Amino acid sequence: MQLNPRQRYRLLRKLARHRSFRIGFIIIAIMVLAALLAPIIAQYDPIAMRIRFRFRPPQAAFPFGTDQFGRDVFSRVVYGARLSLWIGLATALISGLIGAFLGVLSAQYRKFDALLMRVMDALMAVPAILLAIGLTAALGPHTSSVIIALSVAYIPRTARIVRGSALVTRELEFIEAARVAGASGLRIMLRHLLPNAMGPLLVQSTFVFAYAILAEAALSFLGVGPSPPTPSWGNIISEGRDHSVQAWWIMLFPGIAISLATLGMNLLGDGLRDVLDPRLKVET
Amino acid sequence: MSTNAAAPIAGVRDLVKIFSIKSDKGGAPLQLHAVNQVGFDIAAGETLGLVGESGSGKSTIGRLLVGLIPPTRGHVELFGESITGKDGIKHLSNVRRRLQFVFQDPYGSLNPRMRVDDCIAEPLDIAGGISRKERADRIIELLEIVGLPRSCGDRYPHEFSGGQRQRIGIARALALRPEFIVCDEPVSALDVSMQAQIVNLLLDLQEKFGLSYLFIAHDLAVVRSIARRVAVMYAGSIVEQGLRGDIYRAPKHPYTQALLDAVPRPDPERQRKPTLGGEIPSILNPLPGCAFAMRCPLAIDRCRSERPMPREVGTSHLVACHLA
Amino acid sequence: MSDLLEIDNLTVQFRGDAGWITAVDDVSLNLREGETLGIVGESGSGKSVTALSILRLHTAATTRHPTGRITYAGKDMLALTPRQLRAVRGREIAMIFQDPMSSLNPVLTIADQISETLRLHQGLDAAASRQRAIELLELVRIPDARRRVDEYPHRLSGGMRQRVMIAIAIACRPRLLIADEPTTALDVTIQAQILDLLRELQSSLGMSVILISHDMGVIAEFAQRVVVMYAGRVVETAPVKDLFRKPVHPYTEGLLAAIPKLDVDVVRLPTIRGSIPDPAQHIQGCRYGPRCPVVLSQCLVEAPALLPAGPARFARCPPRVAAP
Repeated sequence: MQLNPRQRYRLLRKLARHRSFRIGFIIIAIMVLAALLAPIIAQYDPIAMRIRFRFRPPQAAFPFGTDQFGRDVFSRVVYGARLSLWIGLATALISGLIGAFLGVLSAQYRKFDALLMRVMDALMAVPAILLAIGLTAALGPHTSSVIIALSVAYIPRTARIVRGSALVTRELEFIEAARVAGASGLRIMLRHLLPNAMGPLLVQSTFVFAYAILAEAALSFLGVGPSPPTPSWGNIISEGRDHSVQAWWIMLFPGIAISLATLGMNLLGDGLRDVLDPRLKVET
Repeated sequence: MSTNAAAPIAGVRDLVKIFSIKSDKGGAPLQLHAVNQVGFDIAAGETLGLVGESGSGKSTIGRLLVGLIPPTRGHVELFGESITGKDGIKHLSNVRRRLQFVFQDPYGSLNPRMRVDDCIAEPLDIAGGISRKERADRIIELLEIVGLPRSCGDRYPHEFSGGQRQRIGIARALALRPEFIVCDEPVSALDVSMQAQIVNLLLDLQEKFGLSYLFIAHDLAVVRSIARRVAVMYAGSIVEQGLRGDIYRAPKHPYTQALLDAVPRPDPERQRKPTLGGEIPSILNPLPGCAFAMRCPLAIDRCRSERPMPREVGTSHLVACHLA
Repeated sequence: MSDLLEIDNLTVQFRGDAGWITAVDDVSLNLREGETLGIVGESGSGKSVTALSILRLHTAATTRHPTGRITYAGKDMLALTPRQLRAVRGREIAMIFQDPMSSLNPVLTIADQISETLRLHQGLDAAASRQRAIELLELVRIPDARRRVDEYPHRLSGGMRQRVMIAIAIACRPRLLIADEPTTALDVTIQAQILDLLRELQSSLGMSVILISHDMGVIAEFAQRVVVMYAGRVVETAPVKDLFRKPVHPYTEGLLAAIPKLDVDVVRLPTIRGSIPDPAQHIQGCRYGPRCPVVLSQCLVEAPALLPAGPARFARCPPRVAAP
């Protein structure tokens, strides 16, 4: 989205005033900061086991308690943020890019559209999470497989949204103007359809980010997520499953982290949508 | 058709366009007879005004003329060669640079995500082969020609008023120095005080660059201020065409007369003329005979069974009416 | 004749990007019983907002509660409770809008939509309201009313839909009909029919009408008295013949001159330089000053007041009023 400095400033000001966006932004910002500063914030090595300290409840030395291996849950959650947020981001980016590309292609070429939409429909008929489970099971329990699987699962929804926006844009007169001037289909897709779909795409991406974090948790819970001992929020919860009664803190805190991240992203997305959409519509 | 001896810059003959759309009841698709046997010429440096109400087919003709949509039947010629016959597509891409289009909607005709200078320069970018400096110079030149300050280039369409956006659209149309421009309702969406400015701009540009226009509008008064010749359309056909004076002062077709009578004048003391009854006909299943017969106060039996073809009733004055 | 409606010092503000935007600034006008008042202005003039304020139809979320007074038949409209307001809307004061496409509910039949207001205000039962609906459709000259009444809006043409809107509006015999650009979206020949219909209904039902339009021709043919608005303020008020014969305010003059003429050939249309100011922009002195061809230095300093300019005339231009 190209904006000149003055417009960027106005847009940012509008966002800053939007309550949901503010809250969401602060939450996510804190999490990202914590993730980036993990080595400084976390007091303990998230992987090293110190059996002497197992099952300590939340206390001064261990704000989130320790798990069955004596690992500080707080440190694990902070390091886990890196992985989980990364998965969210990567999934949003990949599904966003590919979905956008497929979306404008569909809007521009009707024959391709018919074919692609049927494929997308088929993919969407399977719940995203099941699809992801199947793919990760096939690809193996690595972070990269999780990202690939989730991206594939969310591409259809993104493609649909971009396609919808592009179909509307296509009917506008400036597309005709470009055609009169001899614009090729490629140019129309890249220069006109895609930029005008940025708004809905951005909003959709924030939701994909949130879904991906949740999905990762589910995948880890089922044992097909990123493999331990590298912590991700999902696998911390998963490992704490057997001790849910005696050491409830192992599951609780990563769970709260996931909830907060999802909430934060959704609020951010809501704010973006409210601010961007009226901007996309022309003021009379 | 025109008195000008030189070859026309644009012309159509026996032009037909039928749109096939899906029926909302299922079953066979519906046929919309948007353009039904239309023929006219436009001479170099001339403005032909095309007027009509909704469903008249005037906007479709504009698009047919620049090759945005293909005709169902008939011929379209630009700069002396056909774009509908053999090699038509090749000829069209050859002459693309010489023709342009100005759109109605000042809000939809510019990409809201593109800066104004990029909007204006887009035809240049597509045609290619221009240096950055030349591009920048040309943008400034075009802005000046349409009366906009150079600072506009950095900004976005939504920052401008309707009239200014229309100027931007015109600047874009002029980018490749075209010879022929189709203007589709270019001032309909503007305030009255702005309409006059844009019409005058178009007239100035015509004088300066020797442009030819096809000026499509529903507003008869606006057309009178810009067109030398006028063609009146009804339900897909041209019912009357001729020089401006003939059409406005001595129309021969009952529809032209009714249209002129129906326009409200800013004159409270004007004698009101009888109002034309009936509805604009559907172009779905054209009845045999004259499309206007149902509403025409002068219609006779022949009008309902036999479709009138254009006949010459004066110099350059053609009327499609059995009774003219 | 007493005043049916009196608007005194009405100011309406909307929330904009950077603070409050004044759409209507200290507007005063009155309507006598049985009169047809035309309000004319271009975009940003505030004419529609003024009309919407009478029935308090603007979006509460983004509008500041209007200041000033609107008195209808002795009632203070701005102080009515929601219930009292609902009793007035549709029954005593009715309104029709520009776009008949979006003013009718696409999933209800015509009969349902007309019946809605009948049941609400007159307590008719289903059978009685259906019968009355058919009568109303015949009153607004919809052919084949008995069959049409069961159809859905999308089956009707624009002109028909507008007639249905009018039928709904007059269903309860309102004393005042507010018509906001009722024919702008319609074709010229259909527009003439609708205006005829409104005239007919007005005289047979004895309604007072406020007609809002940007089209001076429509105003000239329909209104008895005219209010001219510009950038949120009233700039001139006069009986219709006087206004068109001899406008006092330079804006009215400029507007009349800039209208494309249907009956005369003009070489170049006179224009009003500049463009309509952005409503968010604050202008010192006369709002029209920056564009006025006869502006004086005092005009740009002091905001002019609305002064008497002849019998039943007012104009917001002290220089013109002082030396006509």
